[in-house]
Amino acid sequence: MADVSISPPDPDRLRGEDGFRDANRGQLLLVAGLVMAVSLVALVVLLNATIYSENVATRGIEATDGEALEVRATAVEGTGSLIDATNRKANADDDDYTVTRGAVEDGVAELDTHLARTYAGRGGVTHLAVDSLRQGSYLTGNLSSASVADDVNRTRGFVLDVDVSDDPPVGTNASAAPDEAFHVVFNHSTGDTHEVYVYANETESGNLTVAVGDDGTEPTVLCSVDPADLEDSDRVAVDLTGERVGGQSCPGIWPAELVSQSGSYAIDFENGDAATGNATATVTAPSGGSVGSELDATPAVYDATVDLRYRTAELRFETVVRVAPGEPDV
Amino acid sequence: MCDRLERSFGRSRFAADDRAVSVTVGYVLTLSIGAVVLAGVVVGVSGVVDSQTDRAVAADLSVVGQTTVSNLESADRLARAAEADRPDGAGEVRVSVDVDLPTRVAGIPYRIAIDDERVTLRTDNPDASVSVRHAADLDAESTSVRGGPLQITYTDETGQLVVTER
Repeated sequence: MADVSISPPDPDRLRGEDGFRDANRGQLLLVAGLVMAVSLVALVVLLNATIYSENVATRGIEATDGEALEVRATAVEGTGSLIDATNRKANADDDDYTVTRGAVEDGVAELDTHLARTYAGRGGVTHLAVDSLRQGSYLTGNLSSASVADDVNRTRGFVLDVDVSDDPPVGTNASAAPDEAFHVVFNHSTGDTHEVYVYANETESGNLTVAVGDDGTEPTVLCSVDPADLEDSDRVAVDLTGERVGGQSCPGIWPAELVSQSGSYAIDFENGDAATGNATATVTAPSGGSVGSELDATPAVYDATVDLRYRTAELRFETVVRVAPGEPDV
Repeated sequence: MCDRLERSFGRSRFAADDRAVSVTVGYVLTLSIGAVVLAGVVVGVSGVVDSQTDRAVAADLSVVGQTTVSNLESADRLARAAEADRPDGAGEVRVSVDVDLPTRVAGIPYRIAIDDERVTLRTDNPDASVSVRHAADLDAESTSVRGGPLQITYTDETGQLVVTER
C-alpha cells in the first residue's frame, strides 16, 4: 500500500539553520503591501470626496430666498388688496375712518392667520401685524370740470375710466388739446402746472390718445390706443399713477415732479364736457387728514406699514414694509 | 536517456552536485527585482494619490465656493427686499441665512475669505486656492473664516452683509 501520509515540515528548513534570522526577508513585502494598502484607502477616500462634491455640484443649489420673497409678496399684495377693498366698501357704505381702520386691522390679522397656516406646512413661521395706518381720502365721481383734490402730496390708484362707445371723447389734435380736450391739471405748490390730456385723435381714426404738457403749452402725445383692439371696447382705463392706457404700458403719464412728494399739489379736471366716464383715486394730504374735493370723498386708509417676519430652520427675515398699492414708482 | 545519465553520474552524485545553483545569488536577484518593482509601484501610487488629492481639493473648493456665493447672493436679495418700501427709520431689518458647508475638503481643513467682489477658498497643504466672484449689490464685510457651517447676516444697523462662523 502506498504511503500517502505527509510528514511534518522540517523546522530547520523553515527557520534556517540560525532560527528566524532569515525571516526578515519578508519585511520588504510587508512594508510595500502596507504602503499599497494605505494608498488604495487614500484613493478610495478621495474618490468618495470627489463623488460627493460632484453630486453636490450637479444637485443644484436650492434658492433659500425664494420662499421668503414669496411670503413678502403675498403679504404686500394681500394687504394692498385688503386696503383697496375696504376703501371701496367704506365709500359705498359711507363709513367713517374708525370703521375703515378697524376693518383693515382685522383683515391683516386674518391674513396673518392664513399665512401662518399656509407656511407652517412648509416648515416656516410667519408673523404679519399692522404697525401704522395713514389716513387719506377715497375719491370717486364722474369726469366733469371739478376740483378733484385741494391739497395733496401723495396720490395712488388714480384711474380715469373713459367711455369710448356711447359718448366718446371729443376729437381733436395735440395743438388744440389745451382748449378742447378733457384734461387733468396738477397745480404744484411751486406754481408749475402739469397737464394730462385725454381725447380722440381726429387724425388717427378716433384712437384714444393721451398727451402730457407743462404750464398749458402744447402737449406731447405719449400713447394712442384703438378701442377696437381692446377686450372691452366700450371703456378704456387710463391709469395715471400706474402709467397704463387700456392695460398697455404708457410711461411718462405721471409727472415726474410729483413723484418726489416734495411740496403739495391740487388736482383739477378741465373741459369736463369733452369726455364722459368715471374717476377714482386715493389721496392723502400732508397733514394726513381728509382732503377737500368736489367728487364723492370718503375717509380711507391711504397706506399701511406692516411688520413682517418669516423664519425657517436656515433663514430669518424680519422687515417693515409700507403698502400703498398703485402708487407711482419713485 | 535517463538510464544513460544515471549510468554516467550516478544518483548520489547528482543529488550532491550544487554547481550553477546559488541560493544566495537567487535570493539577491529576487529581492532586488522585487524591491525595484515595489519601489516603482509605491512611487507611482503616491504620485497618483498626490495628484488626485490636488484635483479633489480644487474641485471641492470650487463647489463649496459656488455654494457660498449662492447663499451670499440669496442673503443680498433678501436684504434688499427687506429694505425696499421701508419707511425711513421704521422698525428693524434683520436677515440671516445659515449655510451648511463641510468642515474639510478631501479631508483637509480650509479657510474662506469674503470681500466686496469675491469669495476665496484656500487650503495650506496642498497649497490650493479657488476664487469665485459674487454679484451681491450690498457691501460684504471683508473677513476670513474657517470652512464649515456659516451664517450670513444683514441688519439695518450694519448696512452690510456679515459672514460669521456658526
